Amino acid sequence: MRGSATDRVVTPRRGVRGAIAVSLAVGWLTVCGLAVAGCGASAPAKRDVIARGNAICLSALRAVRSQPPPSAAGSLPALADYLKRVVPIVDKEVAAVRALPRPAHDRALLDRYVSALTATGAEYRTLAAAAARGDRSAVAQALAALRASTAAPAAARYGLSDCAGSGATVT
Amino acid sequence: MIGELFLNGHHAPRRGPHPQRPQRGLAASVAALATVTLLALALALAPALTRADMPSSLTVVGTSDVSDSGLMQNLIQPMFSAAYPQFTFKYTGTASGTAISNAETGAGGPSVLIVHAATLENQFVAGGFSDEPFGRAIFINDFVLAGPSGSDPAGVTANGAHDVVQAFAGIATAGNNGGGSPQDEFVSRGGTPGTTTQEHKIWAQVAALPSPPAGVLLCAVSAANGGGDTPIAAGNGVTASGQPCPNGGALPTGSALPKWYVVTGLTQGPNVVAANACAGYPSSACYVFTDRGTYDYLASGSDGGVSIPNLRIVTRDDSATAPGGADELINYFHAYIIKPTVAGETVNLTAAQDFVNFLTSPTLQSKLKTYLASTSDPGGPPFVADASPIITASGIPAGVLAGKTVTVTGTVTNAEPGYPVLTGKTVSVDEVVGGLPVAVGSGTTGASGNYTITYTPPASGQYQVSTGLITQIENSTLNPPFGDLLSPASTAPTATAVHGVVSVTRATGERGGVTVAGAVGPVAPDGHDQVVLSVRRQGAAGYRKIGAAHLVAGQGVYAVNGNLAAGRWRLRVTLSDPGQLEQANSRIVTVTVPTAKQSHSVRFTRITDRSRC
Repeated sequence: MRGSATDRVVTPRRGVRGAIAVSLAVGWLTVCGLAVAGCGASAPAKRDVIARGNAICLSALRAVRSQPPPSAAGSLPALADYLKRVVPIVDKEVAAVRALPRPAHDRALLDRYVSALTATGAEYRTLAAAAARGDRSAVAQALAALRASTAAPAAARYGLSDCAGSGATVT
Repeated sequence: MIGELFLNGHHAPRRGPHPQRPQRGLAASVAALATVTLLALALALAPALTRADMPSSLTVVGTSDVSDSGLMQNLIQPMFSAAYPQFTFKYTGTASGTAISNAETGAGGPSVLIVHAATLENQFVAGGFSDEPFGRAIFINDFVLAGPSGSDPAGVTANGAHDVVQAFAGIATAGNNGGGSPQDEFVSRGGTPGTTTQEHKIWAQVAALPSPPAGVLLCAVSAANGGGDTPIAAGNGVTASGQPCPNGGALPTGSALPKWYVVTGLTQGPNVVAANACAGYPSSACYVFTDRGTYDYLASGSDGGVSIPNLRIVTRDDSATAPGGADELINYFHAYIIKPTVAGETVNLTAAQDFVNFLTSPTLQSKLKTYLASTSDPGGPPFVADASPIITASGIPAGVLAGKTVTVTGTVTNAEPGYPVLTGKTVSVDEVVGGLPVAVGSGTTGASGNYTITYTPPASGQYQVSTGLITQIENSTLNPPFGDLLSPASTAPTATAVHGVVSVTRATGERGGVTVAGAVGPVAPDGHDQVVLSVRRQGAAGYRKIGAAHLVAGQGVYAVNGNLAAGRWRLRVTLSDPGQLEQANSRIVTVTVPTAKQSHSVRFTRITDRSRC
């Protein structure tokens, strides 16, 4: 059943011509294989970028959700403590998304998302700093800016569904 | 990328050695050279063949259930490799006990362990080999008992179709046959796979029956081997069921096994195939205990030409009144990140974390129900998502006045059937801000997993209820107790519109214009609030803007004016705070702007504004 590939016996070819033919074929296949494996690798398709991007976003979301929420809603010290743990996760997400390859197809859309996400990351840092110094007005301004973030709709337009919002888990 | 998948480990089916013919002459030399060259190139191109995990590779060792069911190679591995192409992935499917041993010693260089044997997993955790406090719940399927498609000498379909303990007892009775030639065989994998540890648990329940099978001896397996009981032949030091198996609870082998109890040492799939063949045994009626994922994969012919036409499922879905109850046959799978700091380990921690996060992500969890969904099995898809608890929530409003409190209620349910209720767990209401959740209220689950949370929505936006990572003791009767990690869960985001309030307390008509004063609610949180004064001449249609004022953070009252010609006007004030509040209108006020030398007059008209919530 399984493992048949490892169990399969390759019978040796007989004769010099056969052996040379095998060697040539092996050499040619090797060259082709090398070309496919690395040297001639093509740019990733959009669907691959979407799969990788979604994985980055889901991983970040999971990491954020694994942080205990602020102990008291509305408390700036509690929010600051929470953001101290969350901002590095956001920064890591932004860096990972920025490092995604950007296929030519729909590149402008992806650029727009990356740009919006980068701005969102910066706003989160601003929010964290405002919360840390107890500046309620600056916190409100940063939250308002985050609410106006265009990252989610830009992600949705490119097809990065898991980056477009904080979706439900499976039930 | 090289998506290498090792499907058989130590329990691989043994095959006879193939005779090798000596190669002769130049042809042999050239062929040998070509082979060496090819192997060298293959090694250069295939880092997965090396023993330890490197930054670019991820080795997972685990139960053969997920490989022999095709789940790993057909669903998990392709999806993971698409999402994480930077890792060369390798899965080694073997017995859970063997996989745990390899994970503990670092043999094969694994970074992640996937198993389904709670009585062995608890020891793995207690030994300090898990990087996290417990393993993560990833999914369940169910155990089934398959038997001959024709005859049923054990009478399982009549007496044990939904009672696996009675089914085992029937097989043992027919197999023992009063000491005569076996009428059937039980084909076991032996060793310590998760399936066998579950089988041993069931044999222990058989031994505890009021009328256990006559003439059948069942000895107690050591805790180190997963506990439970296993059949043993008479004359091997066990005189009554329940006594420890010889050699400190070791598993009987060879002649110590009853004739009707066959141990193959195979992984899940090959063991089922062996039972289907049922060749070389005294009877031609083989029963096999297996997981439904593997059974469905083989029975549906999805495994490339392999089929098991001689078998059918004879026991499944235990009834609530059967020993062990309705959850007796649940097959729980867990994933562990192996602790990198244990001597001998070569863990790629980043890859391991990415992989277990992927396994528990909604992306994969939502796909499980699509796998083997179109077989003829009436039980439906065999694998069921259980990584995150199930949350219900009611009370998140579509609209609310600013500053008003909202109460949300619901329940958090453990998605692993048969495991304890989730009590004392933190639940949050989050506003989704910039794509990430920011908690605005929280509560704790009660005795039945229910919760109540009161909060004040700070702004218009998306709200959802969520739980974080939950640590849960699932079986406290085991020593050490068995626990697991339930991944964060959330409801679908729901839009809530928060409506501000703006009032007019004074409107004064003066020559050439009007001044309006009032209050806003909530107090402007930032510098984005604006009030706009609009008017229309009495009897005319449509308002036009004649003035506006920005509010600074903390401002709760306003005054705004505008130029107007003499006459009677209707005016209103609109409060807006983009991204924070829904636009709100004041009541409509009638005011008279005097001509020269005419004194002003003000009259308020109460009009219901139906645009507000």
